This record gives sequence, C-alpha cells and structure tokens, in this order.
Amino acid sequence: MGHEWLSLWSFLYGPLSIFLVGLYGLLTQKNLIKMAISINIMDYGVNLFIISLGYVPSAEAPIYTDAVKTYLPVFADPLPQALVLTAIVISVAVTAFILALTIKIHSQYGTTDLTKLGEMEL
Amino acid sequence: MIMQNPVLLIAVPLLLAFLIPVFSSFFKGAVRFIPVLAGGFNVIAAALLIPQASGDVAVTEIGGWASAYGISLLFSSQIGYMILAVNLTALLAIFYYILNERDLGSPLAYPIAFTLALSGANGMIMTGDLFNLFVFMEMTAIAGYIIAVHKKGYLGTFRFVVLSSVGSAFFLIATASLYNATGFLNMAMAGKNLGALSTPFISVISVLFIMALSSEAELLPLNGWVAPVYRESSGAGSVFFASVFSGAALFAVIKVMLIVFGINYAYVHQGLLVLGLVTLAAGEAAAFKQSNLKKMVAYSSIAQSGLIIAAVAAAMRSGVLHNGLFNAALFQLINNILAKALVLLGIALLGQATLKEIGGAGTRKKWLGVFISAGVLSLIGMPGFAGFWSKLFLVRELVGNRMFVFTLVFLLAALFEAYYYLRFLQSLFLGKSTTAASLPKTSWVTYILLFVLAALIILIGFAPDVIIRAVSGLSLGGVL
Repeated sequence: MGHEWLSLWSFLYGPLSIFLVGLYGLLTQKNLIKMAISINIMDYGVNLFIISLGYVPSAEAPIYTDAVKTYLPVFADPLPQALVLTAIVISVAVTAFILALTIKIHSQYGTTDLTKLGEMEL
Repeated sequence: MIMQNPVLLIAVPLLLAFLIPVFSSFFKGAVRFIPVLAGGFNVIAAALLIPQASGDVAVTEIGGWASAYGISLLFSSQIGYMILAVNLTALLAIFYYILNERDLGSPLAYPIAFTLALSGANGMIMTGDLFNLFVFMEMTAIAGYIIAVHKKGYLGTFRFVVLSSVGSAFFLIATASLYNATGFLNMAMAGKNLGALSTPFISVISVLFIMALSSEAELLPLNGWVAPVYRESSGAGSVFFASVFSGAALFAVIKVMLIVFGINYAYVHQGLLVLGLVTLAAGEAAAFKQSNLKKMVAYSSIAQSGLIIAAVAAAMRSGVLHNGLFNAALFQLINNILAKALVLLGIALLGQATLKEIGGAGTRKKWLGVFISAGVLSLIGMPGFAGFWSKLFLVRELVGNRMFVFTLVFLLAALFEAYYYLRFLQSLFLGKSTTAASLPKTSWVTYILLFVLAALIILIGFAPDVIIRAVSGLSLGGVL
C-alpha cells in the first residue's frame, strides 16, 4: 500500500504538480523573466511525466550489448526517453528565444513588468 | 521518379534552410532567393504528386520502419491540394517579402524562418505520427516567432510564445498519456486501440489535444495572440500566419480528430462543435468592432477557423461521416487560405492601418482596389468568387442534415462578416482620406502576385467542380 502510494506520487502526481506549479506561475507572475521560468518549470513537469511513463520496475537501461545474447533482461521503455530528449531540445530553443525577446522588450520599453507593458501597448 | 516521395516536401526546405547560413558566407545577396527555391520546389512537387495520388490515403514509411512503429507520412489527393494551396500562398508571400520587405529585419534570419516554416507546415499536414506532429508544430511555431517579430512587434510575439508553449506542454501530456494507454504514437494505431479506454480518459485526452492545437489553429481558448501579432506583423508575415500556419494547424486538428478519435465518440465531436461555434461567434463579434484593418482580418480569421472546425465536428458527430459536410469544410479551408492571403497582401500594400486612413485609396490605386475586392468578395461569399461555392455547400449540407442551430449561427456570422467587409470596401472606394500621406509605390511585379491569387479565386468561382472533385475525392470514394 505504502509502496503504491509512493510510486503514484513519484510517477504521476509529482510531475503533474510540478506542471501545475509552472502553470500557476505563468498565470500569476507579471515579470517576463519569471514567466519564462514558469514555462521552464512546466516543461520539467511534462518531461518528468513522460519519463516516468516509461518506467518498468527493476528494469535495466535499454542498451543493447553483448550481454543480451546470454540472458534476456527487462528493459525500460526507451521511447519516452527519446521523446523527452527531443522535447528538452525544443524547450531550450524556445527559452533562448523568450529571453532574447525579453531583452528586446526591455530595451524598447524600459521595463519587464507585464502590467506596465500592457498600459504602454494601449 | 525522385519527385514521387512526399517526404521531399519536408526534407528539401529543411535542408535548404540549414544551408542558408553556409551559403550566406559565399553569396550574401543570393540568400534571399533560397526560400523561393524551396517554395517553388514544393509547389512543383505537390503539383506532380497530386495526379498520382488517389482519394485514398497512401502511407509512406520513413526510414524503413513499419508504419505502426516508425514515422509515416500520409498523402492523398486532398492532402495534395491542401499542400499546394499552402505552399503557393507561402511562395507568393516570400516573393512579396523579397520585393517589398527585404530590408525589414535581418537579411539572414527571415529567409531561414520562411524556409523552415514551409517544411514544418508541410510536415504538420502530412505526418501520421503524434510525436512527429509535435515536432513539426514546434518547428512552425519557432519559425512563426521569428516571423512575428519582423516589424518589431515584441509584445504580441511574447504573448504568442507563451500561449504556444502552454499548448505544446498540453500536447506532450496528451501524446504521452495516449502512448502509455494504447502503446502507439501512430495516429491510426492509437485510434484503433482507443476503444478499450474509459470515457473520462478519452474526454480528457481529446480536450488536451484540442487545447494544444488551438494556439496555432487560432481557435479558442489559446488564440489571444492572434490580433496583436497580426497587427504588428509584416505583409509577408501576416500571410504566413493567416494562410500557412493556420491552414496547416487546422488540417492537423482535423487529422487528429478524424484518425485518432474517428466517428465513434459523439461527445468529443459535440464538444468540438460547441467550441467551433463559440469561436465563430466571438471572432465575428470582435472583428465587427475593429477599425484597425489587420486586427479585423485577424478576428475574421479566428472566426473562419471556428467555422471550419465546427463543420468538421458536425460532420463526424453522428457516428457516420457526412462526406458532403466534411468536404464543404475542406473546400472552405482552401478558399479561405487563398482569399485571406490576397486581402492581407492588399492591406499591406495600402500601407495604412485603419479604416479611416485608407479612405478612397481604391480610387487612387485602381488595380489594388480591384484585387482587394476580389479577395473580400470571396470571403463574403459573393457569386462568381470561390467563397460563394463553399458557403453554399455548407448551408446546403447543414440544412440537409437538419442542423438548424449551426445554420442559424453560420448565417448570422456571415451577415456580420459581410457587413464589416463591405464597410471596408466602402471606405476603400468611397471614403475620404484623413491622412495626407501618399500611398507607397507598388511595382508591377507585386501586382502579378495579387493577380495570381485573384485569378485562382475567380477561376474556382466559375469552375468550382474542378477543385471540388479534387478536394472531395467523392468520386473516388475516400475522405481524407
């Protein structure tokens, strides 16, 4: 029982709550940099969630070596790991873009506060 | 022979995009023609692929993996026409960029962004794999971010980046959950195994997918970026958003709905129908109030996305696929791509932002006025223009299938749309300018771009059966 509770938390609720923390930050923060951080936290949550879906109890890393010829190991699902690798790369690119954009916004408007920017836009 | 593989529509622009930085160190001035090369190749390749395709979907396996496990591309005559429309408008927008907006922004970044956008949009239209769709979605989105800052509209772009990032996070959660539950990333296989899952799970997954795709498809709830980005984008950029990105994303929504969820989940399609109608009504109401031309077209674009998605959902919701309604929606999508591109290029050439400022511009620049009118009249659905037929088919099918609420919303929306677009034409031809600024000069080459779009719209308007037969594939018995 205790074990099941823990694994549900570490594999499902944990990542999803990290995602929700990021989403909450994105909705409440007014500073553009903090919004970028919130997006990153969201991405971490999602990536952890995907990785944990590929978890197989007491499995080995899915690397095909000579040892496989002699015994049949249980592999963790490699596909989610490949997906996360792609997702991480994309999220790095997007973060770089957001930060560059923030620099541009700051040099044009002199602030990174969303409320002030909203007033200036109108 | 080599042109027969649809993967080239993605691979060639991608390769060319990455060659641009290399190329620029040798021939700096020639870099801007690379997007033309990519777009031209795609238009020719699509035109060559269409006659060989049938109404049934042909699956191309990539990298020698069986389609259930590897990435597969889908191609049919419908998909071919979709690709042709998207790439043709993109090519014209790229020509417009070279002719009129070359000096705007970095001379290196924009050719790369346009070429990447082409590759990503084609990928979104053709891929049959969910994670692959995510990658192409992100690729078009990142190209879109670059295109959105073309005229230094940083704030609108920031909004776009944030909403699109939220959308892609939702997409990843949905894709991973679906993979975990069904064991497949392939759309068709995932859809096949969906039947064993519980109703709440399917509802949540479908909501996540729709929310994820809503940012680029300009649907509610994640479409808050559309108006600010359109307002601040360049002429070529706005065409990319209105025709290329939203066309590809809408097609991706339709594809996910049709292949993954199919026609068996009435509650999914019912929800999508409501979302589409709300988007339609909200978009038209917002467009109605605008005096800024680009924002008006932006909200009208949102409304059209809603209409198309609502029609697709209505076609699938009763457990049988209504071919007529589905095809009318696809026809409307293609007409919308062409007409929006024409109107937005025209507005960019006017060089003025608001309804008052353009007063009488159509009488001073007669050809421009004529071309814009062709686009606008097609959007409204005047007889003799392409938009008339798709709207007529939509109404006929809606009434034929006894969907009276939808018909009512659609007709009211069309009335609103006609009102604000005619107000635009009235101001264009009969209004008096409030600014002394003279209109920017337009070269005759630019007029050729507008002429191509206007000619296509009028051609479809007078001979719709050519396109309809191709788009619908009814005679061939296949849908999508």
